[in-house]
Amino acid sequence: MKLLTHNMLTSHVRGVRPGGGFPLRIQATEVKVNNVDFNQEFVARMIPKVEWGALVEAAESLPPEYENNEDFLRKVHHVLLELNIGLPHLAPYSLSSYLDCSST
Amino acid sequence: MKLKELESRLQQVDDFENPKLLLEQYPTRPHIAACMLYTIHNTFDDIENKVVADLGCGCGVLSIGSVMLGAGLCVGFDVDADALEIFSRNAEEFDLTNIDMIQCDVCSLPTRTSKTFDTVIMNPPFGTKHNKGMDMTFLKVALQMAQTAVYSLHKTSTRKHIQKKADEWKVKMEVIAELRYDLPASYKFHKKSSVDIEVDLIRFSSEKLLN
Repeated sequence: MKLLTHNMLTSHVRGVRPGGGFPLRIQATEVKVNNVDFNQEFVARMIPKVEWGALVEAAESLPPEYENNEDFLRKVHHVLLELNIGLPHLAPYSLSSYLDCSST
Repeated sequence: MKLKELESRLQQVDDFENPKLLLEQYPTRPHIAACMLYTIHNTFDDIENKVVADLGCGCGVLSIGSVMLGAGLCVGFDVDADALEIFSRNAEEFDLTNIDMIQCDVCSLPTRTSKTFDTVIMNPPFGTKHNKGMDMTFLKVALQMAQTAVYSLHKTSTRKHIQKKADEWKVKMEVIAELRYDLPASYKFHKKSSVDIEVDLIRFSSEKLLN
Protein backbone atom coordinates (compact mmCIF):
# COMPACT_ATOMS: atom_id res chain seq x y z
CA MET A 1 0.00 0.00 0.00
CA LYS A 2 1.23 3.46 -0.89
CA LEU A 3 1.78 5.91 1.92
CA LEU A 4 -0.66 8.25 0.19
CA THR A 5 -3.39 5.61 0.37
CA HIS A 6 -2.48 4.92 3.96
CA ASN A 7 -2.80 8.60 4.66
CA MET A 8 -6.20 8.81 2.98
CA LEU A 9 -7.45 6.01 5.21
CA THR A 10 -6.07 7.65 8.29
CA SER A 11 -8.49 9.21 10.63
CA HIS A 12 -8.52 12.94 10.16
CA VAL A 13 -10.53 13.44 13.28
CA ARG A 14 -9.05 16.15 15.41
CA GLY A 15 -7.50 14.95 18.59
CA VAL A 16 -6.62 11.55 17.24
CA ARG A 17 -2.91 11.43 17.63
CA PRO A 18 -0.85 10.12 14.74
CA GLY A 19 -0.29 6.46 15.33
CA GLY A 20 -3.49 6.03 17.29
CA GLY A 21 -6.23 6.31 14.69
CA PHE A 22 -7.48 4.17 11.87
CA PRO A 23 -5.66 2.20 10.46
CA LEU A 24 -2.45 3.87 11.35
CA ARG A 25 -0.54 0.98 12.77
CA ILE A 26 1.84 -0.12 10.07
CA GLN A 27 3.52 -3.43 10.28
CA ALA A 28 6.11 -2.75 7.69
CA THR A 29 7.55 -6.19 7.24
CA GLU A 30 8.96 -4.94 4.01
CA VAL A 31 9.20 -1.72 2.11
CA LYS A 32 9.29 -1.97 -1.67
CA VAL A 33 9.88 0.74 -4.17
CA ASN A 34 8.12 0.84 -7.52
CA ASN A 35 8.34 3.56 -10.11
CA VAL A 36 5.36 5.79 -10.74
CA ASP A 37 5.31 8.50 -13.39
CA PHE A 38 5.86 11.88 -11.81
CA ASN A 39 2.81 14.12 -12.04
CA GLN A 40 3.78 17.50 -10.67
CA GLU A 41 0.29 18.97 -10.68
CA PHE A 42 -1.16 16.03 -8.80
CA VAL A 43 1.54 15.94 -6.15
CA ALA A 44 1.17 19.68 -5.62
CA ARG A 45 -2.57 19.18 -5.15
CA MET A 46 -1.90 16.53 -2.52
CA ILE A 47 0.26 18.76 -0.33
CA PRO A 48 -2.60 20.43 1.52
CA LYS A 49 -4.61 17.19 1.64
CA VAL A 50 -2.05 14.99 3.29
CA GLU A 51 -2.17 14.63 7.04
CA TRP A 52 1.43 15.54 7.56
CA GLY A 53 1.32 14.88 11.25
CA ALA A 54 0.59 11.27 10.44
CA LEU A 55 3.35 11.12 7.89
CA VAL A 56 6.13 13.15 9.41
CA GLU A 57 6.63 14.89 12.66
CA ALA A 58 8.00 18.06 11.21
CA ALA A 59 5.02 19.57 9.41
CA GLU A 60 6.58 23.03 9.60
CA SER A 61 9.43 22.02 7.35
CA LEU A 62 7.39 22.47 4.15
CA PRO A 63 9.29 24.81 1.86
CA PRO A 64 7.57 28.01 0.76
CA GLU A 65 6.09 28.07 -2.77
CA TYR A 66 6.26 24.32 -3.00
CA GLU A 67 3.98 24.29 -6.09
CA ASN A 68 6.93 25.20 -8.29
CA ASN A 69 9.65 23.46 -6.35
CA GLU A 70 10.16 20.41 -8.55
CA ASP A 71 12.94 18.94 -6.44
CA PHE A 72 10.77 18.99 -3.38
CA LEU A 73 7.69 17.64 -5.20
CA ARG A 74 9.73 14.77 -6.64
CA LYS A 75 10.72 13.76 -3.14
CA VAL A 76 7.11 13.92 -1.99
CA HIS A 77 6.08 11.90 -5.06
CA HIS A 78 8.59 9.23 -4.14
CA VAL A 79 7.40 9.00 -0.55
CA LEU A 80 3.68 9.09 -1.28
CA LEU A 81 3.46 6.99 -4.39
CA GLU A 82 6.56 4.91 -4.91
CA LEU A 83 7.12 3.42 -1.48
CA ASN A 84 4.91 0.44 -0.73
CA ILE A 85 4.50 -0.63 2.82
CA GLY A 86 3.58 -4.01 4.20
CA LEU A 87 3.20 -5.80 0.92
CA PRO A 88 4.68 -5.65 -2.56
CA HIS A 89 3.25 -3.29 -5.11
CA LEU A 90 -0.27 -4.14 -6.29
CA ALA A 91 -0.85 -6.76 -3.64
CA PRO A 92 -4.34 -6.38 -2.19
CA TYR A 93 -4.08 -5.07 1.33
CA SER A 94 -6.41 -6.51 3.91
CA LEU A 95 -7.88 -4.00 6.29
CA SER A 96 -9.69 -6.50 8.46
CA SER A 97 -6.81 -6.90 10.86
CA TYR A 98 -6.77 -3.17 11.45
CA LEU A 99 -10.46 -2.42 11.67
CA ASP A 100 -11.79 -1.80 15.07
CA CYS A 101 -15.54 -1.65 14.49
CA SER A 102 -16.36 -1.12 18.15
CA SER A 103 -15.40 2.54 18.31
CA THR A 104 -17.46 4.39 15.76
CA MET B 1 -8.34 9.65 -25.22
CA LYS B 2 -11.39 8.98 -27.36
CA LEU B 3 -14.38 7.08 -25.99
CA LYS B 4 -13.91 4.27 -28.52
CA GLU B 5 -10.28 3.85 -27.56
CA LEU B 6 -11.10 3.76 -23.86
CA GLU B 7 -13.76 1.13 -24.46
CA SER B 8 -11.49 -1.05 -26.53
CA ARG B 9 -8.74 -0.87 -23.92
CA LEU B 10 -11.22 -1.78 -21.19
CA GLN B 11 -12.24 -4.81 -23.20
CA GLN B 12 -8.89 -6.30 -22.31
CA VAL B 13 -9.62 -6.18 -18.59
CA ASP B 14 -10.25 -9.65 -17.20
CA ASP B 15 -13.47 -10.35 -15.32
CA PHE B 16 -14.66 -12.60 -12.51
CA GLU B 17 -13.62 -16.20 -12.97
CA ASN B 18 -16.23 -17.60 -10.60
CA PRO B 19 -18.72 -14.85 -9.80
CA LYS B 20 -20.18 -15.05 -6.31
CA LEU B 21 -23.92 -14.73 -6.14
CA LEU B 22 -24.03 -13.53 -2.56
CA LEU B 23 -21.78 -10.62 -3.41
CA GLU B 24 -23.85 -9.85 -6.52
CA GLN B 25 -20.78 -9.99 -8.69
CA TYR B 26 -21.86 -8.85 -12.09
CA PRO B 27 -19.21 -7.51 -14.41
CA THR B 28 -19.29 -3.85 -15.37
CA ARG B 29 -19.23 -4.19 -19.14
CA PRO B 30 -16.54 -2.23 -20.97
CA HIS B 31 -19.13 -0.21 -22.84
CA ILE B 32 -20.89 0.94 -19.66
CA ALA B 33 -17.62 1.55 -17.85
CA ALA B 34 -16.23 3.60 -20.72
CA CYS B 35 -19.40 5.72 -21.11
CA MET B 36 -19.51 6.31 -17.41
CA LEU B 37 -15.87 7.34 -17.01
CA TYR B 38 -15.81 9.37 -20.20
CA THR B 39 -18.76 11.46 -19.02
CA ILE B 40 -17.30 11.94 -15.55
CA HIS B 41 -14.02 13.05 -17.07
CA ASN B 42 -15.27 15.24 -19.90
CA THR B 43 -18.35 16.83 -18.42
CA PHE B 44 -17.31 17.20 -14.81
CA ASP B 45 -13.51 16.90 -14.78
CA ASP B 46 -13.65 14.71 -11.70
CA ILE B 47 -10.94 12.19 -12.65
CA GLU B 48 -7.76 13.79 -13.95
CA ASN B 49 -5.27 14.52 -11.16
CA LYS B 50 -7.84 13.43 -8.60
CA VAL B 51 -7.76 10.88 -5.79
CA VAL B 52 -10.47 8.43 -6.77
CA ALA B 53 -12.04 5.63 -4.73
CA ASP B 54 -13.80 2.70 -6.39
CA LEU B 55 -16.15 0.93 -3.97
CA GLY B 56 -16.91 -2.71 -4.64
CA CYS B 57 -14.28 -2.53 -7.35
CA GLY B 58 -14.29 -6.25 -8.20
CA CYS B 59 -11.78 -6.89 -10.94
CA GLY B 60 -11.10 -3.19 -11.22
CA VAL B 61 -12.46 -2.09 -14.58
CA LEU B 62 -13.58 1.34 -13.26
CA SER B 63 -10.33 1.88 -11.38
CA ILE B 64 -8.25 0.94 -14.39
CA GLY B 65 -10.30 3.21 -16.64
CA SER B 66 -9.92 6.08 -14.17
CA VAL B 67 -6.17 5.75 -14.14
CA MET B 68 -6.14 5.61 -17.94
CA LEU B 69 -7.97 8.94 -17.90
CA GLY B 70 -5.33 10.48 -15.66
CA ALA B 71 -6.39 9.91 -12.06
CA GLY B 72 -3.51 10.74 -9.74
CA LEU B 73 -4.33 7.75 -7.56
CA CYS B 74 -7.19 5.30 -7.60
CA VAL B 75 -7.89 3.04 -4.62
CA GLY B 76 -10.17 0.05 -5.14
CA PHE B 77 -12.07 -1.44 -2.20
CA ASP B 78 -13.60 -4.90 -2.26
CA VAL B 79 -14.39 -7.61 0.23
CA ASP B 80 -13.51 -10.42 -2.16
CA ALA B 81 -9.85 -11.42 -2.23
CA ASP B 82 -10.32 -13.52 -5.38
CA ALA B 83 -11.62 -10.53 -7.33
CA LEU B 84 -8.74 -8.40 -6.09
CA GLU B 85 -6.27 -11.01 -7.28
CA ILE B 86 -7.67 -10.59 -10.78
CA PHE B 87 -7.64 -6.82 -10.36
CA SER B 88 -3.99 -7.01 -9.37
CA ARG B 89 -3.14 -9.04 -12.47
CA ASN B 90 -5.10 -6.61 -14.64
CA ALA B 91 -3.23 -3.61 -13.24
CA GLU B 92 0.05 -5.36 -13.80
CA GLU B 93 -0.80 -6.27 -17.37
CA PHE B 94 -1.68 -2.68 -18.18
CA ASP B 95 1.44 -1.54 -16.36
CA LEU B 96 -0.56 0.89 -14.24
CA THR B 97 1.13 2.03 -11.07
CA ASN B 98 -1.20 4.69 -9.66
CA ILE B 99 -3.42 2.03 -8.14
CA ASP B 100 -3.85 0.55 -4.70
CA MET B 101 -6.34 -2.07 -3.65
CA ILE B 102 -7.76 -2.61 -0.22
CA GLN B 103 -9.50 -5.78 0.86
CA CYS B 104 -12.23 -4.84 3.30
CA ASP B 105 -15.95 -4.75 3.84
CA VAL B 106 -17.08 -1.46 2.33
CA CYS B 107 -19.85 -1.26 4.92
CA SER B 108 -17.26 -0.96 7.67
CA LEU B 109 -15.50 2.04 6.14
CA PRO B 110 -17.64 5.04 7.16
CA THR B 111 -16.74 7.63 9.75
CA ARG B 112 -13.08 6.83 9.36
CA THR B 113 -12.25 8.24 6.00
CA SER B 114 -14.38 11.31 5.75
CA LYS B 115 -13.74 13.51 2.74
CA THR B 116 -10.28 12.28 1.95
CA PHE B 117 -11.08 11.24 -1.62
CA ASP B 118 -11.99 13.74 -4.31
CA THR B 119 -14.26 11.45 -6.25
CA VAL B 120 -15.95 8.12 -5.57
CA ILE B 121 -17.04 5.99 -8.50
CA MET B 122 -18.87 2.72 -8.13
CA ASN B 123 -21.11 0.10 -9.59
CA PRO B 124 -22.58 -1.05 -6.29
CA PRO B 125 -24.46 -4.27 -5.65
CA PHE B 126 -28.04 -3.43 -6.60
CA GLY B 127 -29.29 -5.06 -3.45
CA THR B 128 -31.65 -7.44 -5.14
CA LYS B 129 -30.47 -10.80 -3.80
CA HIS B 130 -30.54 -11.48 -0.07
CA ASN B 131 -28.89 -8.14 0.58
CA LYS B 132 -31.67 -5.63 0.23
CA GLY B 133 -30.58 -2.06 0.69
CA MET B 134 -26.92 -2.77 -0.02
CA ASP B 135 -26.89 -0.17 -2.79
CA MET B 136 -27.94 2.52 -0.34
CA THR B 137 -25.39 1.38 2.25
CA PHE B 138 -22.66 1.73 -0.38
CA LEU B 139 -24.00 5.14 -1.34
CA LYS B 140 -23.95 6.37 2.22
CA VAL B 141 -20.35 5.28 2.68
CA ALA B 142 -19.39 6.86 -0.64
CA LEU B 143 -20.96 10.17 0.33
CA GLN B 144 -18.89 10.21 3.49
CA MET B 145 -15.67 9.53 1.61
CA ALA B 146 -16.06 11.97 -1.27
CA GLN B 147 -15.17 15.60 -1.10
CA THR B 148 -16.57 16.58 -4.49
CA ALA B 149 -18.84 13.99 -6.03
CA VAL B 150 -20.05 10.41 -6.06
CA TYR B 151 -20.88 8.64 -9.32
CA SER B 152 -22.94 5.53 -9.03
CA LEU B 153 -25.07 3.17 -11.10
CA HIS B 154 -28.56 2.40 -9.86
CA LYS B 155 -31.54 0.62 -11.30
CA THR B 156 -33.82 3.15 -12.95
CA SER B 157 -36.75 1.50 -11.21
CA THR B 158 -35.39 2.66 -7.86
CA ARG B 159 -34.89 6.31 -8.87
CA LYS B 160 -37.71 7.68 -6.73
CA HIS B 161 -36.48 5.90 -3.66
CA ILE B 162 -32.96 7.18 -4.20
CA GLN B 163 -34.21 10.74 -4.71
CA LYS B 164 -36.06 10.48 -1.41
CA LYS B 165 -32.90 9.31 0.35
CA ALA B 166 -30.84 12.02 -1.32
CA ASP B 167 -33.28 14.66 -0.08
CA GLU B 168 -33.19 13.15 3.36
CA TRP B 169 -29.38 13.20 3.36
CA LYS B 170 -29.40 16.69 1.84
CA VAL B 171 -27.29 15.84 -1.19
CA LYS B 172 -27.81 17.03 -4.73
CA MET B 173 -28.69 14.26 -7.14
CA GLU B 174 -28.56 14.45 -10.93
CA VAL B 175 -29.25 11.62 -13.31
CA ILE B 176 -26.57 12.24 -15.92
CA ALA B 177 -27.18 9.25 -18.15
CA GLU B 178 -29.67 6.48 -18.67
CA LEU B 179 -27.96 3.30 -19.72
CA ARG B 180 -28.90 -0.17 -20.72
CA TYR B 181 -27.00 -2.66 -18.66
CA ASP B 182 -26.57 -5.76 -20.70
CA LEU B 183 -26.43 -8.47 -18.12
CA PRO B 184 -25.13 -11.72 -19.52
CA ALA B 185 -26.38 -14.87 -17.84
CA SER B 186 -23.76 -15.63 -15.25
CA TYR B 187 -25.72 -17.61 -12.71
CA LYS B 188 -27.79 -20.76 -12.90
CA PHE B 189 -31.03 -19.02 -11.97
CA HIS B 190 -30.81 -16.88 -15.10
CA LYS B 191 -33.14 -18.29 -17.69
CA LYS B 192 -32.29 -16.06 -20.62
CA SER B 193 -28.82 -15.79 -22.12
CA SER B 194 -28.77 -12.09 -21.43
CA VAL B 195 -31.15 -9.44 -20.25
CA ASP B 196 -31.11 -5.65 -20.45
CA ILE B 197 -31.86 -3.71 -17.35
CA GLU B 198 -32.22 0.04 -17.26
CA VAL B 199 -29.76 1.81 -15.05
CA ASP B 200 -29.14 5.45 -14.19
CA LEU B 201 -25.71 6.95 -13.90
CA ILE B 202 -26.22 9.36 -11.04
CA ARG B 203 -24.01 12.15 -9.80
CA PHE B 204 -24.35 13.03 -6.16
CA SER B 205 -22.58 16.23 -5.40
CA SER B 206 -21.33 18.24 -2.56
CA GLU B 207 -22.55 21.64 -1.45
CA LYS B 208 -24.16 19.54 1.21
CA LEU B 209 -22.44 16.17 1.29
CA LEU B 210 -22.82 14.05 4.41
CA ASN B 211 -20.69 14.66 7.46
